[in-house]
Amino acid sequence: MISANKLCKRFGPVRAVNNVSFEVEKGEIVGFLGSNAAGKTTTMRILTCYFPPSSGSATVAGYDIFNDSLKVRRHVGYLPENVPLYDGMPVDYFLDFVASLKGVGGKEREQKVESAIKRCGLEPVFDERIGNLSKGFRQRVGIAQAIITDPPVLILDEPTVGLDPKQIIEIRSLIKSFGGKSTVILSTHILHEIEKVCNRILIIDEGEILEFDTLKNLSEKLQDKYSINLTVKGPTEKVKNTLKEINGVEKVRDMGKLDKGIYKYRLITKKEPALLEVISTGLSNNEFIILEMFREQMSAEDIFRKVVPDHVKKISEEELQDKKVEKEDSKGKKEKKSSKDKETDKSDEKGGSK
Amino acid sequence: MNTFHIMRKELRTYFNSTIAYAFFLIFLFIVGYLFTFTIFQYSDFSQLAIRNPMMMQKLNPAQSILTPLFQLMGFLLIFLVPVLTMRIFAEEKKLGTIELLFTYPVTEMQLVIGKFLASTAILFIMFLFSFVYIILFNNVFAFKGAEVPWGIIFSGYLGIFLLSLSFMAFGMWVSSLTSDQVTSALATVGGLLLFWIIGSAQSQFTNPVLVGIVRQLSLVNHFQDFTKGIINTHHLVYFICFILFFVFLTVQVLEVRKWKG
Repeated sequence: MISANKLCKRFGPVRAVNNVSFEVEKGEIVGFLGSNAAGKTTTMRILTCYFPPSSGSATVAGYDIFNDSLKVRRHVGYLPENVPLYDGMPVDYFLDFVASLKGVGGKEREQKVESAIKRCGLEPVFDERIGNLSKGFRQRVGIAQAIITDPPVLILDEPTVGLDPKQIIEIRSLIKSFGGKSTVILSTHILHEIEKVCNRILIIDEGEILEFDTLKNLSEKLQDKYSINLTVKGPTEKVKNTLKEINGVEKVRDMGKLDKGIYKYRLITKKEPALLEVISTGLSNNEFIILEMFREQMSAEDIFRKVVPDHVKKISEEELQDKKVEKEDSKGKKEKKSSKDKETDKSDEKGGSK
Repeated sequence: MNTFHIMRKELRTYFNSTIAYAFFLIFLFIVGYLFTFTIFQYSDFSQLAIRNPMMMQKLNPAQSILTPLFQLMGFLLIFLVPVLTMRIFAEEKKLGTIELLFTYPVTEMQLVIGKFLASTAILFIMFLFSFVYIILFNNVFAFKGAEVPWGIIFSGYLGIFLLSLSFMAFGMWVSSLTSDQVTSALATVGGLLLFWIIGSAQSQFTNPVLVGIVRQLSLVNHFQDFTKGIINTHHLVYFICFILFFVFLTVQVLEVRKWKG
């Protein structure tokens, strides 16, 4: 759906985007992750034909951004950063205007406006001036203008910035509902937003792509040690000893008692996927019962810290450190393993929302 | 089609805010005042003329009232048109909505023409209203079976329309250069005044080429013939070129964004 080929954009001596190439499949939701001035907005502006690249090429929805710019613009819905809108216009009139520019006429336009208002939950304010709306509704109007023609490609620049937590959740689920039908690119500063919404993440820094993969693959690639959480029924000392004897396990930490005879452990092990099996057979052979077992996956925050070079780290180190502590006990994507069938099955959302 | 949608949106913006109404009101009020003033002046003049048959022959209501009226209207528009044009692009830039427009399937040309046509429509409506003074004029002076001076009315309106479109094209271009409406308005007034008075400096130049250039640049020199009832194709072409030049320049200013940096 979107393919960028060696995109470069220079502003004077500054290279805002440098040699960026990537492919996005139909129906994917891709998150652009990067610190400020990393080149996210510039890349988006190139893809939406706001300005052409200094060099390189890209096709969006099957059209070349340079030669078929008008067709690209017709097939892309774009929400710019800070959501610029005509403050003096009523919501429905504005949406009608957008639809008319995108070439929708007559009866169909009325329907599109109506459906966009409905999908974005704008019914209570459809005839109000945009300038009078609250931030949350404003954001929705911005999204509504992007989706009004059901474009195959949606590009959203920081869609949830400045919203309260409730609104963020609403906007996020709205965006998630576009996945599958439309290809979505969104950029954000909020790291765990990426985990919640996106299929793949693209980490960009100083105009260059550092990583582009699914969270799971990135986590796999960047982890040098596994950490496994275990809940086992059985005498704690014996369990610990059994665990320590397993080849590959480096550290066993007692995480406290859960119930009578049930303890939680945290293992730091070598990076060997087969180890989970070994551990579970080891424990079962000793007739301990595994109640829960999952391998922790890196969160977007961890990945970001690992991927983006030091100069960024320094700035956000403290902030991230704080967040990490919080994350340890609540958030984070985890991989679960049931002791019975010994097969990994992922729980994307459950682990995170627990 | 997109040009039409842009025009529709612009017109709606004008009429949704107070700007269009204030614009009409101020223009009609001042023109009304000037109209009354010139009529009184003419009546004083005709009192004198009664005693002087030589002057009597020169007495021509159309030339003594309509010509100065059109000229004053032209001068007035130097200050009024920038109020209309200041927001055209400056506001879009300030709000950031220009980014939306540029990512919609609209070309720069359509955008500029659409906006230009919308402002043209506003001016057209305004001149339509001002026709009330022409009707008054006819009621005052055509009672003795005198002929209605349609020629001077038509050429005067044509001149004032072309002049205001030139002002607008210039103002739109200035507006595309800045994101601040006040700067836009001030720079437009300044530029237009310069175009207006530049002709009066022509006597200071000795170089005939320079005199020629200065005289040709001056908008007022080209405008004056229209107010006297003369439609000279030379002036017609001048205005059309002036308008097209600044419309073209505006399109270029918008397109240069693509290649900057």
